[in-house]
Amino acid sequence: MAMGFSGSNGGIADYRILNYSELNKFILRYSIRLNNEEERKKEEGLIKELEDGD
Amino acid sequence: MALGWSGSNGRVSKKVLDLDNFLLKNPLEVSYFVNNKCNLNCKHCYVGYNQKNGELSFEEWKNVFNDLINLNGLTFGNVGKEPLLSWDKTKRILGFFYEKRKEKQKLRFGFVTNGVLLDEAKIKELSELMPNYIDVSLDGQKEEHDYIRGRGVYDKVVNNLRLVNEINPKLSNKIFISSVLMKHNKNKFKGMINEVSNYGITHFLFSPYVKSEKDKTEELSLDLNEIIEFYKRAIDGELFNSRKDLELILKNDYDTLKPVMDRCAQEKIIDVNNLLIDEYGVIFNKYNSRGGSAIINYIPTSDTFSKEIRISHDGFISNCYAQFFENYPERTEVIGNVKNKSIKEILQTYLIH
Repeated sequence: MAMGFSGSNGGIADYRILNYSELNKFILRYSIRLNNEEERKKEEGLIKELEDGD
Repeated sequence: MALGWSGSNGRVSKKVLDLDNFLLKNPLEVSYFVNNKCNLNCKHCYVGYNQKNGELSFEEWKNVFNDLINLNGLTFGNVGKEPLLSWDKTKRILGFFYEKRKEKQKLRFGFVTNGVLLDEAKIKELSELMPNYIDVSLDGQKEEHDYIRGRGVYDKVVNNLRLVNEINPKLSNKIFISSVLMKHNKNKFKGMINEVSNYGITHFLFSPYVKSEKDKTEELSLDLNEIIEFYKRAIDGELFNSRKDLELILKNDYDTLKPVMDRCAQEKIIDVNNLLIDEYGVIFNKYNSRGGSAIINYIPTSDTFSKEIRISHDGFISNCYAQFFENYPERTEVIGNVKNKSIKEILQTYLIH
Protein backbone atom coordinates (compact mmCIF):
# COMPACT_ATOMS: atom_id res chain seq x y z
CA MET A 1 0.00 0.00 0.00
CA ALA A 2 1.89 2.96 -1.11
CA MET A 3 0.04 5.14 -3.44
CA GLY A 4 -2.57 7.72 -3.89
CA PHE A 5 -3.66 6.96 -0.33
CA SER A 6 -7.31 6.71 -1.21
CA GLY A 7 -6.82 5.44 -4.76
CA SER A 8 -8.45 6.58 -7.99
CA ASN A 9 -12.07 6.47 -6.78
CA GLY A 10 -12.86 5.62 -10.38
CA GLY A 11 -11.50 8.85 -11.84
CA ILE A 12 -13.48 11.89 -12.88
CA ALA A 13 -17.26 11.88 -13.23
CA ASP A 14 -19.53 14.32 -15.06
CA TYR A 15 -18.06 17.80 -14.61
CA ARG A 16 -18.47 21.50 -15.19
CA ILE A 17 -16.60 24.78 -14.82
CA LEU A 18 -15.93 25.99 -11.27
CA ASN A 19 -15.64 29.75 -11.22
CA TYR A 20 -13.58 31.64 -8.69
CA SER A 21 -16.43 32.76 -6.41
CA GLU A 22 -17.78 29.20 -6.36
CA LEU A 23 -14.31 28.00 -5.41
CA ASN A 24 -14.34 30.35 -2.43
CA LYS A 25 -17.74 29.07 -1.36
CA PHE A 26 -16.49 25.53 -1.72
CA ILE A 27 -13.47 26.33 0.46
CA LEU A 28 -15.66 27.86 3.15
CA ARG A 29 -18.00 24.93 3.13
CA TYR A 30 -15.35 22.26 3.46
CA SER A 31 -13.11 24.11 5.85
CA ILE A 32 -15.86 24.25 8.42
CA ARG A 33 -14.82 22.41 11.53
CA LEU A 34 -18.12 21.71 13.17
CA ASN A 35 -16.67 20.68 16.50
CA ASN A 36 -16.45 24.37 17.32
CA GLU A 37 -20.04 25.60 17.46
CA GLU A 38 -19.11 29.27 17.42
CA GLU A 39 -16.81 28.88 14.41
CA ARG A 40 -19.42 26.81 12.66
CA LYS A 41 -22.09 29.45 13.01
CA LYS A 42 -19.70 32.17 11.90
CA GLU A 43 -18.63 30.29 8.78
CA GLU A 44 -22.15 29.17 7.94
CA GLY A 45 -23.16 32.82 8.15
CA LEU A 46 -20.38 33.72 5.72
CA ILE A 47 -21.56 31.09 3.26
CA LYS A 48 -25.11 32.39 3.50
CA GLU A 49 -23.92 35.94 2.91
CA LEU A 50 -22.02 34.82 -0.17
CA GLU A 51 -24.99 32.88 -1.47
CA ASP A 52 -27.39 35.74 -0.81
CA GLY A 53 -25.00 38.04 -2.63
CA ASP A 54 -25.17 35.96 -5.85
CA MET B 1 4.94 25.45 -22.69
CA ALA B 2 3.30 22.88 -24.81
CA LEU B 3 -0.06 21.59 -25.72
CA GLY B 4 -3.17 22.02 -23.71
CA TRP B 5 -1.86 24.49 -21.18
CA SER B 6 -4.98 26.52 -21.15
CA GLY B 7 -6.93 23.46 -20.09
CA SER B 8 -9.88 21.85 -21.74
CA ASN B 9 -13.54 22.48 -21.51
CA GLY B 10 -14.37 19.25 -23.32
CA ARG B 11 -17.14 17.15 -21.81
CA VAL B 12 -18.22 20.08 -19.67
CA SER B 13 -21.90 19.88 -19.11
CA LYS B 14 -24.64 21.45 -17.04
CA LYS B 15 -22.66 24.66 -16.69
CA VAL B 16 -25.86 26.62 -16.45
CA LEU B 17 -26.77 24.89 -13.20
CA ASP B 18 -25.59 26.48 -10.00
CA LEU B 19 -23.05 24.59 -7.99
CA ASP B 20 -25.42 23.27 -5.38
CA ASN B 21 -27.70 21.83 -8.01
CA PHE B 22 -24.82 20.28 -9.89
CA LEU B 23 -23.00 18.64 -6.98
CA LEU B 24 -24.30 15.48 -5.44
CA LYS B 25 -25.38 16.47 -1.97
CA ASN B 26 -22.33 16.57 0.31
CA PRO B 27 -20.90 13.30 -0.98
CA LEU B 28 -18.61 11.39 1.34
CA GLU B 29 -15.58 9.44 0.09
CA VAL B 30 -14.84 6.48 2.28
CA SER B 31 -11.59 4.55 2.08
CA TYR B 32 -11.22 1.48 4.24
CA PHE B 33 -8.74 -1.27 5.02
CA VAL B 34 -10.39 -4.68 4.94
CA ASN B 35 -7.27 -6.19 6.56
CA ASN B 36 -3.81 -5.16 7.68
CA LYS B 37 -1.79 -7.83 5.92
CA CYS B 38 0.07 -8.03 2.65
CA ASN B 39 1.82 -10.68 0.52
CA LEU B 40 4.57 -8.22 -0.48
CA ASN B 41 7.03 -6.17 1.52
CA CYS B 42 7.44 -3.02 -0.55
CA LYS B 43 10.20 -0.53 0.16
CA HIS B 44 7.80 2.41 -0.15
CA CYS B 45 4.84 1.14 1.88
CA TYR B 46 3.47 4.00 3.99
CA VAL B 47 1.54 1.94 6.52
CA GLY B 48 3.25 2.25 9.88
CA TYR B 49 0.37 0.86 11.93
CA ASN B 50 1.16 -2.82 12.33
CA GLN B 51 -1.63 -4.23 14.50
CA LYS B 52 -2.95 -7.22 12.56
CA ASN B 53 -5.78 -8.32 14.84
CA GLY B 54 -9.25 -6.97 15.41
CA GLU B 55 -10.58 -7.01 11.84
CA LEU B 56 -14.21 -5.95 11.52
CA SER B 57 -16.48 -8.81 10.44
CA PHE B 58 -18.57 -8.58 7.28
CA GLU B 59 -21.67 -7.88 9.41
CA GLU B 60 -19.87 -5.03 11.20
CA TRP B 61 -18.77 -3.54 7.88
CA LYS B 62 -22.29 -3.84 6.52
CA ASN B 63 -23.68 -1.84 9.46
CA VAL B 64 -21.02 0.85 9.09
CA PHE B 65 -21.56 1.11 5.33
CA ASN B 66 -25.35 1.27 5.68
CA ASP B 67 -24.94 4.17 8.12
CA LEU B 68 -22.48 5.90 5.78
CA ILE B 69 -24.78 5.50 2.78
CA ASN B 70 -27.50 7.17 4.85
CA LEU B 71 -25.03 10.03 5.50
CA ASN B 72 -24.46 10.49 1.72
CA GLY B 73 -21.51 8.10 1.42
CA LEU B 74 -21.16 7.63 -2.34
CA THR B 75 -17.60 6.46 -2.93
CA PHE B 76 -16.25 3.39 -1.18
CA GLY B 77 -12.67 2.28 -1.78
CA ASN B 78 -11.15 -0.84 -0.26
CA VAL B 79 -7.59 0.46 -0.12
CA GLY B 80 -5.70 -2.07 1.92
CA LYS B 81 -3.75 -3.50 2.95
CA GLU B 82 -4.04 -6.19 0.28
CA PRO B 83 -7.76 -6.89 -0.26
CA LEU B 84 -7.20 -10.05 -2.33
CA LEU B 85 -5.69 -11.76 0.72
CA SER B 86 -9.16 -11.57 2.31
CA TRP B 87 -10.96 -12.47 -0.88
CA ASP B 88 -14.06 -13.96 0.72
CA LYS B 89 -14.75 -10.86 2.83
CA THR B 90 -13.74 -8.48 0.03
CA LYS B 91 -16.08 -10.28 -2.36
CA ARG B 92 -18.98 -10.11 0.09
CA ILE B 93 -18.40 -6.40 0.62
CA LEU B 94 -18.23 -5.77 -3.14
CA GLY B 95 -21.44 -7.79 -3.47
CA PHE B 96 -23.08 -5.60 -0.83
CA PHE B 97 -22.17 -2.45 -2.79
CA TYR B 98 -23.24 -4.10 -6.04
CA GLU B 99 -26.74 -4.48 -4.60
CA LYS B 100 -26.73 -0.96 -3.11
CA ARG B 101 -25.70 0.53 -6.48
CA LYS B 102 -28.91 -0.86 -7.97
CA GLU B 103 -30.85 1.43 -5.61
CA LYS B 104 -28.44 4.36 -5.72
CA GLN B 105 -26.86 4.66 -9.14
CA LYS B 106 -24.30 7.31 -8.17
CA LEU B 107 -22.78 5.01 -5.58
CA ARG B 108 -19.37 3.81 -6.75
CA PHE B 109 -16.99 1.27 -5.31
CA GLY B 110 -13.66 -0.34 -6.03
CA PHE B 111 -10.44 -1.55 -4.53
CA VAL B 112 -6.67 -1.18 -4.63
CA THR B 113 -4.47 -4.23 -5.17
CA ASN B 114 -0.89 -5.15 -5.99
CA GLY B 115 -2.40 -7.48 -8.61
CA VAL B 116 -0.36 -10.56 -7.74
CA LEU B 117 -3.36 -12.67 -6.70
CA LEU B 118 -5.67 -11.57 -9.49
CA ASP B 119 -6.30 -15.02 -10.95
CA GLU B 120 -8.83 -16.46 -13.39
CA ALA B 121 -11.41 -17.36 -10.73
CA LYS B 122 -11.33 -13.89 -9.16
CA ILE B 123 -11.49 -12.20 -12.56
CA LYS B 124 -14.65 -14.16 -13.36
CA GLU B 125 -16.22 -13.25 -10.03
CA LEU B 126 -15.25 -9.59 -10.50
CA SER B 127 -16.87 -9.67 -13.93
CA GLU B 128 -20.16 -10.41 -12.18
CA LEU B 129 -19.72 -7.74 -9.50
CA MET B 130 -18.26 -5.15 -11.92
CA PRO B 131 -16.75 -2.67 -9.44
CA ASN B 132 -16.48 0.90 -10.73
CA TYR B 133 -12.71 0.67 -10.54
CA ILE B 134 -9.77 -1.59 -9.72
CA ASP B 135 -6.49 0.16 -8.93
CA VAL B 136 -3.51 -2.07 -9.75
CA SER B 137 -0.05 -0.96 -8.65
CA LEU B 138 2.82 -0.77 -11.12
CA ASP B 139 5.85 1.33 -10.27
CA GLY B 140 7.52 1.48 -13.66
CA GLN B 141 8.74 -1.38 -15.81
CA LYS B 142 10.17 -4.68 -14.62
CA GLU B 143 13.45 -3.39 -13.18
CA GLU B 144 11.97 -0.45 -11.25
CA HIS B 145 8.85 -2.28 -10.11
CA ASP B 146 10.69 -5.36 -8.87
CA TYR B 147 13.27 -3.18 -7.11
CA ILE B 148 10.44 -1.88 -4.91
CA ARG B 149 8.16 -4.91 -4.69
CA GLY B 150 10.36 -7.98 -5.13
CA ARG B 151 11.74 -10.17 -7.88
CA GLY B 152 9.24 -11.59 -10.36
CA VAL B 153 6.34 -9.42 -9.22
CA TYR B 154 6.17 -7.30 -12.39
CA ASP B 155 5.83 -10.31 -14.69
CA LYS B 156 3.09 -11.82 -12.52
CA VAL B 157 1.08 -8.60 -12.43
CA VAL B 158 1.41 -7.87 -16.15
CA ASN B 159 0.44 -11.45 -16.93
CA ASN B 160 -2.66 -11.04 -14.74
CA LEU B 161 -3.54 -7.79 -16.55
CA ARG B 162 -3.29 -9.70 -19.83
CA LEU B 163 -5.56 -12.39 -18.37
CA VAL B 164 -8.17 -9.82 -17.33
CA ASN B 165 -8.28 -8.52 -20.90
CA GLU B 166 -8.60 -12.05 -22.32
CA ILE B 167 -11.43 -13.01 -19.97
CA ASN B 168 -13.34 -9.73 -19.91
CA PRO B 169 -12.13 -6.63 -21.81
CA LYS B 170 -14.83 -4.56 -20.09
CA LEU B 171 -13.11 -5.23 -16.77
CA SER B 172 -9.78 -4.00 -18.23
CA ASN B 173 -11.49 -0.71 -18.82
CA LYS B 174 -12.17 -0.44 -15.08
CA ILE B 175 -8.48 -0.80 -14.23
CA PHE B 176 -6.44 2.20 -13.15
CA ILE B 177 -2.71 1.55 -13.10
CA SER B 178 -1.56 3.19 -9.92
CA SER B 179 2.06 4.34 -9.78
CA VAL B 180 4.21 5.89 -7.12
CA LEU B 181 6.52 8.48 -8.53
CA MET B 182 10.03 8.03 -7.15
CA LYS B 183 13.59 8.97 -7.94
CA HIS B 184 14.48 5.69 -9.65
CA ASN B 185 11.38 5.41 -11.83
CA LYS B 186 10.53 8.96 -12.84
CA ASN B 187 11.76 8.42 -16.41
CA LYS B 188 10.44 4.91 -16.86
CA PHE B 189 6.69 5.28 -17.21
CA LYS B 190 6.42 5.74 -20.95
CA GLY B 191 7.51 2.14 -21.54
CA MET B 192 5.15 0.86 -18.85
CA ILE B 193 2.18 2.73 -20.30
CA ASN B 194 3.04 1.48 -23.76
CA GLU B 195 3.21 -2.11 -22.56
CA VAL B 196 0.04 -2.34 -20.48
CA SER B 197 -2.09 -0.25 -22.82
CA ASN B 198 -1.88 -3.29 -25.10
CA TYR B 199 -4.20 -5.00 -22.59
CA GLY B 200 -7.09 -2.57 -22.92
CA ILE B 201 -5.97 -0.33 -20.05
CA THR B 202 -6.45 3.39 -20.55
CA HIS B 203 -6.32 4.93 -17.04
CA PHE B 204 -3.09 5.77 -15.24
CA LEU B 205 -2.81 7.35 -11.82
CA PHE B 206 0.36 8.92 -10.42
CA SER B 207 1.21 10.18 -6.95
CA PRO B 208 4.59 11.28 -5.65
CA TYR B 209 6.21 9.14 -2.99
CA VAL B 210 5.72 10.48 0.51
CA LYS B 211 8.38 9.48 2.97
CA SER B 212 7.17 7.77 6.11
CA GLU B 213 8.89 7.48 9.49
CA LYS B 214 9.97 3.93 8.56
CA ASP B 215 12.09 5.18 5.68
CA LYS B 216 15.46 6.34 7.00
CA THR B 217 16.95 6.98 3.55
CA GLU B 218 16.52 9.60 0.85
CA GLU B 219 16.86 7.17 -2.03
CA LEU B 220 13.21 7.11 -3.14
CA SER B 221 12.15 10.71 -2.52
CA LEU B 222 11.94 13.28 -5.28
CA ASP B 223 12.47 16.91 -4.49
CA LEU B 224 9.78 19.42 -5.36
CA ASN B 225 11.50 20.48 -8.60
CA GLU B 226 11.65 16.89 -9.83
CA ILE B 227 7.95 16.36 -9.09
CA ILE B 228 7.02 19.55 -10.93
CA GLU B 229 9.20 18.53 -13.86
CA PHE B 230 7.38 15.17 -14.07
CA TYR B 231 3.97 16.85 -13.89
CA LYS B 232 4.93 19.17 -16.74
CA ARG B 233 6.04 16.24 -18.88
CA ALA B 234 2.84 14.36 -18.10
CA ILE B 235 0.69 17.36 -18.98
CA ASP B 236 2.62 17.89 -22.21
CA GLY B 237 1.79 14.35 -23.29
CA GLU B 238 5.36 13.09 -23.11
CA LEU B 239 4.33 9.84 -21.45
CA PHE B 240 2.02 8.95 -24.31
CA ASN B 241 2.76 7.15 -27.51
CA SER B 242 0.38 7.56 -30.41
CA ARG B 243 -2.82 6.36 -28.70
CA LYS B 244 -5.46 9.02 -28.35
CA ASP B 245 -7.63 7.62 -25.62
CA LEU B 246 -5.31 7.39 -22.60
CA GLU B 247 -5.93 9.31 -19.39
CA LEU B 248 -3.33 10.26 -16.80
CA ILE B 249 -4.38 11.45 -13.37
CA LEU B 250 -1.87 13.29 -11.21
CA LYS B 251 -3.30 12.80 -7.78
CA ASN B 252 -2.51 15.09 -4.88
CA ASP B 253 -3.41 14.61 -1.26
CA TYR B 254 -4.01 17.57 1.05
CA ASP B 255 -2.24 16.35 4.18
CA THR B 256 0.97 15.20 2.54
CA LEU B 257 1.18 16.96 -0.82
CA LYS B 258 -0.03 20.48 -0.15
CA PRO B 259 3.42 21.97 -0.97
CA VAL B 260 3.24 20.22 -4.35
CA MET B 261 -0.21 21.68 -5.05
CA ASP B 262 0.92 25.15 -3.94
CA ARG B 263 3.91 25.03 -6.26
CA CYS B 264 1.72 23.74 -9.11
CA ALA B 265 -0.60 26.70 -8.56
CA GLN B 266 2.36 29.08 -8.51
CA GLU B 267 3.60 27.71 -11.83
CA LYS B 268 0.08 27.62 -13.32
CA ILE B 269 0.17 23.83 -13.69
CA ILE B 270 -2.88 24.13 -11.50
CA ASP B 271 -4.76 27.07 -12.95
CA VAL B 272 -7.14 28.27 -10.24
CA ASN B 273 -8.90 30.52 -12.74
CA ASN B 274 -9.82 27.63 -15.02
CA LEU B 275 -10.86 24.91 -12.63
CA LEU B 276 -13.38 22.19 -13.26
CA ILE B 277 -15.38 20.28 -10.68
CA ASP B 278 -17.08 16.92 -11.00
CA GLU B 279 -20.35 15.99 -9.39
CA TYR B 280 -18.58 14.26 -6.48
CA GLY B 281 -16.76 17.52 -5.67
CA VAL B 282 -13.38 16.64 -7.19
CA ILE B 283 -11.69 19.87 -8.35
CA PHE B 284 -9.18 19.65 -11.18
CA ASN B 285 -7.65 20.99 -14.38
CA LYS B 286 -7.74 18.93 -17.54
CA TYR B 287 -5.17 19.11 -20.34
CA ASN B 288 -5.45 17.48 -23.71
CA SER B 289 -2.40 16.40 -25.66
CA ARG B 290 -1.54 14.23 -28.61
CA GLY B 291 -2.04 10.87 -26.88
CA GLY B 292 -4.93 11.59 -24.54
CA SER B 293 -5.61 13.75 -21.54
CA ALA B 294 -4.00 14.58 -18.22
CA ILE B 295 -5.91 15.54 -15.11
CA ILE B 296 -4.44 17.17 -12.04
CA ASN B 297 -6.57 17.47 -8.94
CA TYR B 298 -6.62 20.42 -6.58
CA ILE B 299 -7.73 20.26 -2.97
CA PRO B 300 -8.04 23.86 -1.77
CA THR B 301 -8.76 23.04 1.85
CA SER B 302 -8.62 20.06 4.15
CA ASP B 303 -11.81 18.07 3.78
CA THR B 304 -11.03 15.30 6.20
CA PHE B 305 -14.23 14.02 7.85
CA SER B 306 -16.43 16.55 6.05
CA LYS B 307 -15.72 14.76 2.77
CA GLU B 308 -13.00 12.14 3.16
CA ILE B 309 -12.99 9.41 5.76
CA ARG B 310 -10.56 6.56 6.40
CA ILE B 311 -11.54 3.45 8.36
CA SER B 312 -8.87 1.02 9.53
CA HIS B 313 -9.34 -2.76 9.47
CA ASP B 314 -10.07 -2.63 13.20
CA GLY B 315 -12.60 0.18 13.03
CA PHE B 316 -10.71 3.40 13.78
CA ILE B 317 -11.84 6.57 11.98
CA SER B 318 -9.10 8.95 10.88
CA ASN B 319 -7.48 10.70 7.96
CA CYS B 320 -5.15 8.72 5.69
CA TYR B 321 -1.97 10.26 7.01
CA ALA B 322 -2.46 8.94 10.55
CA GLN B 323 -1.86 5.41 9.26
CA PHE B 324 1.75 6.33 8.51
CA PHE B 325 2.43 5.97 12.22
CA GLU B 326 2.94 2.97 14.44
CA ASN B 327 1.02 4.64 17.28
CA TYR B 328 -1.99 5.18 14.98
CA PRO B 329 -4.81 4.62 17.52
CA GLU B 330 -3.31 7.17 19.92
CA ARG B 331 -2.98 9.94 17.38
CA THR B 332 -5.14 13.05 17.49
CA GLU B 333 -6.28 12.49 13.88
CA VAL B 334 -8.11 9.37 15.09
CA ILE B 335 -11.56 10.48 16.20
CA GLY B 336 -13.21 7.25 17.30
CA ASN B 337 -13.83 3.58 16.68
CA VAL B 338 -16.96 2.06 15.18
CA LYS B 339 -16.75 -0.80 17.67
CA ASN B 340 -17.54 1.65 20.46
CA LYS B 341 -19.84 4.20 18.82
CA SER B 342 -21.89 4.46 15.66
CA ILE B 343 -20.20 6.16 12.74
CA LYS B 344 -22.93 8.78 12.81
CA GLU B 345 -22.07 9.72 16.40
CA ILE B 346 -18.37 9.80 15.62
CA LEU B 347 -18.80 12.05 12.60
CA GLN B 348 -21.67 14.21 13.79
CA THR B 349 -19.58 17.27 14.60
CA TYR B 350 -17.84 17.19 11.23
CA LEU B 351 -20.55 16.53 8.69
CA ILE B 352 -22.04 19.25 6.55
CA HIS B 353 -25.80 19.15 6.51
